Parts: sequence; structure tokens; C-alpha cells
Amino acid sequence: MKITDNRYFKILITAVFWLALWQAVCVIVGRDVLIASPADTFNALIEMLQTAVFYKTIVMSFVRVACGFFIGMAVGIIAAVITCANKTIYMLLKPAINIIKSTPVASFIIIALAWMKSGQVPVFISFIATAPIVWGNVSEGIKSVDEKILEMAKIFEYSFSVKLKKIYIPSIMPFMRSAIISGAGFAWKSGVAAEVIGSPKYALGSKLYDAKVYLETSQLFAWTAVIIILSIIFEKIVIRLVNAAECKKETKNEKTCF
Amino acid sequence: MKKLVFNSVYKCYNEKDVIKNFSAEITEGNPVCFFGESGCGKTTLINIAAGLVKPDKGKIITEKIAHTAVVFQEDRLLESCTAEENIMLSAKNTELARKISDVCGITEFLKLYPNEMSGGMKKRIAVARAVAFDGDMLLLDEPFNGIDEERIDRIIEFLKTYIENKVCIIVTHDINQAKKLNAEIIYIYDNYY
Repeated sequence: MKITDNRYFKILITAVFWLALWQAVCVIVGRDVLIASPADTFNALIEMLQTAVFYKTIVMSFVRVACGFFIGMAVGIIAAVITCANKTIYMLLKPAINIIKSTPVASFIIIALAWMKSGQVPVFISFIATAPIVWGNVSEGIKSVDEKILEMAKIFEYSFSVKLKKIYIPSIMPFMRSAIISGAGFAWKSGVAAEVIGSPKYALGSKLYDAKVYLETSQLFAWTAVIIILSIIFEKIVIRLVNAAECKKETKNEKTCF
Repeated sequence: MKKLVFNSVYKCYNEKDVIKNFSAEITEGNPVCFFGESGCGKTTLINIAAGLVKPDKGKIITEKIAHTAVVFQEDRLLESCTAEENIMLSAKNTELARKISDVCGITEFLKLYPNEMSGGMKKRIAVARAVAFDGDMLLLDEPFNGIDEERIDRIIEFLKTYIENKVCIIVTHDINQAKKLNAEIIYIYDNYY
């Protein structure tokens, strides 16, 4: 195998390229206040890692986004089931969901700040960002269930739980998967945006805002890097949860029936 | 006695009469074969008998038929389930499920999923599922497509005894299969019966 075919080598080369480009831009711009160098950012990150506030901040932000995301998922799934089962409810809910989808996140954040405490706003915003995506995808999944398979289930008198486990869930899972992946990313971005505007205590968004206000550009870059890394970790955790659910389903299928 | 009666049944799709004034009486132990060209309405009649399609006019009368099993033309197996699960999810009679699995020659691929099977294999699973359901009426829509002759003969031999106390309708393009099943043949041609 050539060294250029090695996965880690490719990652290393890509990282070196972008770091070099970043450094070159820093040198060209020549003003620390506008763009921090990779070395300054790294140093700022190391300093942050040595404080307890850093860990408290990431845990609190993570919990807020995760809460909003999982509530959004649950509400999105329930809403999809209800709207697919009842056309009148679908007709009534659709405009509301379309309005939520097309309203800028910033508007929701400002409105939410008037309604609740700043620490609750990121939870609400992550929920608002996730629920319509999950609703849309799960609805598509339910609609994609083959009518002929449902007829077969009626003929062979399948129970509701069998229909759910063997027909609906396998149909919904691919749609659910893409909803979870895009919903997780969106929840994270929206949640942090809500923290920037609401500035609650112990929040990544608040730290980002403070760094900008005090012209601590290296800290601003370091916090941004932390947000990106956490967003990736959050997405990976969610994908693992989906994979684990699917593996569990396949293992169950292997049971002998005869 | 179990009985199914088509009483002057009409069905039209896209303003075209598919079934026009069709009447027939099918009793248990006396299988009937709907025979005719593609598109003449055989599958529509099966769907009407199964209660999946309502006739536009006319009546369907059933006597002592509570449960109906169907072998659909397109198999309609659950893709997320193995062959075994597809059979057992419908099976009311496990012993019968074992027996028909043996007759259909599917015991070796019970752990396979439909996407790992050939058309003939899927068809055999569909037949086994319908038999294992053990309903009062058995509707077979092109049940032997893709299955080898020797296997078809074995399945028909089994079905001859199995349907003695059931109402049975078979749709097939092969009139010999109907004859082997001792089925009365109803020719369907341009809405003329």
C-alpha cells in the first residue's frame, strides 16, 4: 500500500494544508484582532482547558442542546403520527409547521427571551429547530409505507404492535436517520446562537460573545473550535444511538420462530 | 357449509368496466379457477373476494367465512423479516407451517431475507404463509410463478387435501395447474363469463 493511500496520512496532509493557509492569511492580514493565528488559538485553547469553568460551560451547553433536541425528536415523531392518521389535524398543523420552518431562528430567540429565562431559551430553540425536521421526515416515512403491504397485514390479521414493529418502523428508519443527522447539526447551531443572544451563565454562546466584546480573538477562535468539535461529537453520539437501535432490531429478527 | 357468492358484481376503473355482471357461487371443497387473458379482471375478482376492493354494484355474500388467506400476485413479503418470520407472523397453526414449509421445500432458506431470494423462493414463502394462516377461504393469484414443475406438483397434491374444507379460488395462466387441483374453470373473456 502506498503511503498516500493511508487514511491517516490523507487527514494529516489535509490538516497541514489548511493550517498553512490559515497561517498565511494571518501573516497577510497582520492584525491579531481580526484573525488569530493557529498558534495563538491553540494556546488560548490550552489555557481554557486548565479552568473548571470551561468544563462546566461545555457540559451545560451540551445538556441544553441535547434536551431541546430529544424533546424536539419526541414531539416531531408524535406530531407526524397524529397528522398522518388524521387529515384534519394535518390541515390545521401544516401552516404552523411551515411558519416555524420559514421563520428566522433569531426571531424565535428574541421572542423566547421575552417568554422565558435566558438559560431555557437554547433548549426551546434547539427544540424548535429539531421538531419540524423530524416531523417532515417521519411523515414522509409513514407515507412511504407500501399500501399493498398494509393490505397484506389486514388480510393476515397482524396486530397493531406487529404492524408497528415490522412495517412502519422499518419504513420510517431511513427517513428518521437523515432527520436525526440534520436535526442534530441544526439543533446545535441554533442552540449556540440562542446562547449568544441570550447570554446565559455557563454557555458556549456567552463565552463566544464575551470574547468578541473584549476583542479576545484567539479565545473567539478557540471557543469556535470547541463548538465545532462538540457538534461533531454530538452528531456521532446520535448516529451511534440510531445504529444501536437498528442492530438491536436485527438481533431480535434472528430469533427462531418454528 | 362455507360459501362465497358473487352476485351480479360490477367494477369499473377509469370509467372502463373491468368486471361486468359477474355471478358465481363457490363452495368449500369445490375449488374454482378464474382463467383468462391478462387484464381481464381476474385479480380484481380475487381482491373483491378478499374484501380489499368493494364492487361498484352487486353483492358478495359469504357464509361461515371468517378468515381469508391470500397468495398475492406480487408476493407482498415483509422485507425486514426472514422467510421464517414472514410465515410465522401469519401462522395460526405451527404444525401446518412446518408441514407446508417442507412441502414447499423452503426449510433450507428460512433464515434468508426476501432480498436474498429468487422470485420462485419468494413465491413459495407466500404460499407457505397463506397455508399456515389456515383461513376458511384460500385465494391464490398466480401462486406458482417461478416455481419448478416438480415442486408445483407437490404443492398441488398437498393443497388438494388442504382445501377440502375451504373455499378456494385460483387464478392461473396454466390451465393444467387448475386441472391438477380439480378446479372448476370459469373463463373470463372481455367481461363475458
